[in-house]
Amino acid sequence: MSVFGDIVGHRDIIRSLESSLAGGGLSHAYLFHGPEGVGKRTVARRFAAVLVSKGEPSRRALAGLHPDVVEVEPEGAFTTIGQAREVVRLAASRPLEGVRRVFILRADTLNVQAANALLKTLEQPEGESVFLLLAISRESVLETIASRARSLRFSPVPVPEVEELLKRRGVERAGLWAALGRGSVGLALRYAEEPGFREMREAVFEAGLSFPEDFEGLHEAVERIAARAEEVGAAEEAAFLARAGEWEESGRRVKEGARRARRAGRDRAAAEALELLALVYRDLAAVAAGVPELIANTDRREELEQAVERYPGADWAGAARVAAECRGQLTYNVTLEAVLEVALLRILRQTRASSPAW
Amino acid sequence: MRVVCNKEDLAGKVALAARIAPVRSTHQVHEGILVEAGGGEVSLAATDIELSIRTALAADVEEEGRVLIPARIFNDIVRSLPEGRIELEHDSSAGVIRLATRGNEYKIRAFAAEEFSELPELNPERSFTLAGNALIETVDKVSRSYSRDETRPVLTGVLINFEDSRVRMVTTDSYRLSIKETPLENEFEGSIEAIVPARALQEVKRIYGGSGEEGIQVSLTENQAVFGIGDVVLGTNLIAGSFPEYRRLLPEVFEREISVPRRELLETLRRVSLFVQRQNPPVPVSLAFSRGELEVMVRSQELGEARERLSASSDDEFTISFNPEYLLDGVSLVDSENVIFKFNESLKPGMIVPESEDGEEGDFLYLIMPMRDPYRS
Repeated sequence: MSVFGDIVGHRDIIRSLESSLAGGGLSHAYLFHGPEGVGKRTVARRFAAVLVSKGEPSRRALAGLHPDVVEVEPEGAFTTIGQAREVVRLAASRPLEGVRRVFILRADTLNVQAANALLKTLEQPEGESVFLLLAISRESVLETIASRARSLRFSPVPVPEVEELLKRRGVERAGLWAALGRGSVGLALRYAEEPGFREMREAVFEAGLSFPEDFEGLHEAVERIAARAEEVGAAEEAAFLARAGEWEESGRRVKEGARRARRAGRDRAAAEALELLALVYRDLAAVAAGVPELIANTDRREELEQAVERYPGADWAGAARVAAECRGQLTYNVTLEAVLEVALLRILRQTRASSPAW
Repeated sequence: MRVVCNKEDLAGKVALAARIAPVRSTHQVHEGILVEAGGGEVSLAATDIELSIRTALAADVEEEGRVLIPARIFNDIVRSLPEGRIELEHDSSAGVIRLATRGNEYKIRAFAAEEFSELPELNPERSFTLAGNALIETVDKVSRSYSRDETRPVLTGVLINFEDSRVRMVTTDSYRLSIKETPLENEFEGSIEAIVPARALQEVKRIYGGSGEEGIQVSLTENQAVFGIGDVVLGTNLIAGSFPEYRRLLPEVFEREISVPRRELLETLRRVSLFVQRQNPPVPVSLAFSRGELEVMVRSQELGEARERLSASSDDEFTISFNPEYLLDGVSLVDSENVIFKFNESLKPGMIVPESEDGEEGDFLYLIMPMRDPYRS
């Protein structure tokens, strides 16, 4: 079986990678771009394991522990020039065990200086190094970098395929988690495996459907969601410490990493909370439009139908749009609480205005 | 794993390995030292995925095994324990290694070693043994002019070539170039060439210096150079890429050849350099030759100026300026009584070589790019 055998989706990409492995035609650099959680890193790691191995990749290589595979994690928000220089240096060094070196980088975190430092090496590595660049989108990568790499677009994975994967892993309610994953294997797995994420969803659902009568009620609902997001962050921090805490001699670095993991976990959860809110309204719009089979929150169909009945004529699609818009504001460092309050207030007005029941 | 060995021996070997293990690595497993016990010895290994080291010492092996120990703390503890016998015992269920000498007991976290990299080995059939001092002398002569700038990795290496019965090493940082050839007793078939990281050769020098060995075993493969010094094996990945065509940089003829007493010149250069230390951009030192005389001058706008006169074998007026640090490096690497300068024009590279007794080509040369003297042009 191919090393890509158990990858969900991305058939075209895997075929193209396999054929370049088989028939030569390897590129010095690949840009894997597509939404978060669809499997870019997973595919990159497998591809890297094959690239560095003389024959069949070893278990160690597949586990990401081969010395000639170097994964560069951004330091905070950016991959720094220092990290880029280290990559340039290593790229010119012959491999330790394998046939070449492979670097996995987050290309959308390269700042201009770091990118410039990499350009020459990317175009014409001195050794036979191969660069696997990952990014949310091709547009998020500096053109000078993107133009030097072979671009492969990762699309969201079809929900039934994600469901299949979850079932194979013995997950219960696979269909629901797969639908909530919205094309991301990673996200579906988090819903399936992390209670924190599921609790946050409960809180979002409650806030989205409660239409509180006063500001206090709204504030409470918001607080509950924010608290859940904090918990997700705390869980990330704990997981990071469990993974890294073993090497006590690197104490300060571990602490710094844990702090970062916590913040990143919380921010991701906050973004997900707003997307979930949008999803609730999208589902309501689907029910109102008479196509309830399209809803993602399949376990809440009854509640959704009741809400639609209670507020006939409400502009659910408009509400979904508001939630999605507000999600963007998170990137400007506005707190989750503030963004949620504004979003829910606007949604409240919107649904009320068009609903005769109010 | 359970072994007993001499603490001093262990401390020396752990120190060697701990120098190679990186403080932080993208592969955390490499922040440790791999310790293996078996066959009457304890062997240690470490790597930063560029350099790797293996070494071993005799030990009473009571139980064989293999374990990974965090390098820094292992080194610090072993070094500071009292002399005598030391016992190492791995408790895999608790995940600790116990280090015990009389009355002392330390337990450090230890890890399963399965993920450790395979390190390059010295292949006895494809290796040769060199006179260690000849190799180290050659390294020393070219060690000033490799590049510290990692944006051009190939210049951070030493081009090594074994041919006939000599070794040649070349380094350049693109401002100067050093070439040193040293005769060996070996006879090489064909030409063996590689670009070895300068850092690796510095490490070889260190290990050799502390070893009391005479020979150094060398084996070169496509990707690695491996050096064997006594019971230490140091491996390094080679640098990929092509080294500059250095022969093309060497002028075929020189218009001037001037001899200057080396010791006096060295002292002069050290003194006048006091004006220009740590200035950026560097302030040039000018050599103004006239019949039988050399005037060395430095002018720093901020600090003042210096002039010194020396005797020289020059017979016409000629002035050329250099980066003082680079000039000092070149002059100090020459070990004959007089330094021979070879020049063409003021803005063409100059060459520094030792004086040869019989007029034959020497085995060391140092090519240096001049600077434009801002006060003259």
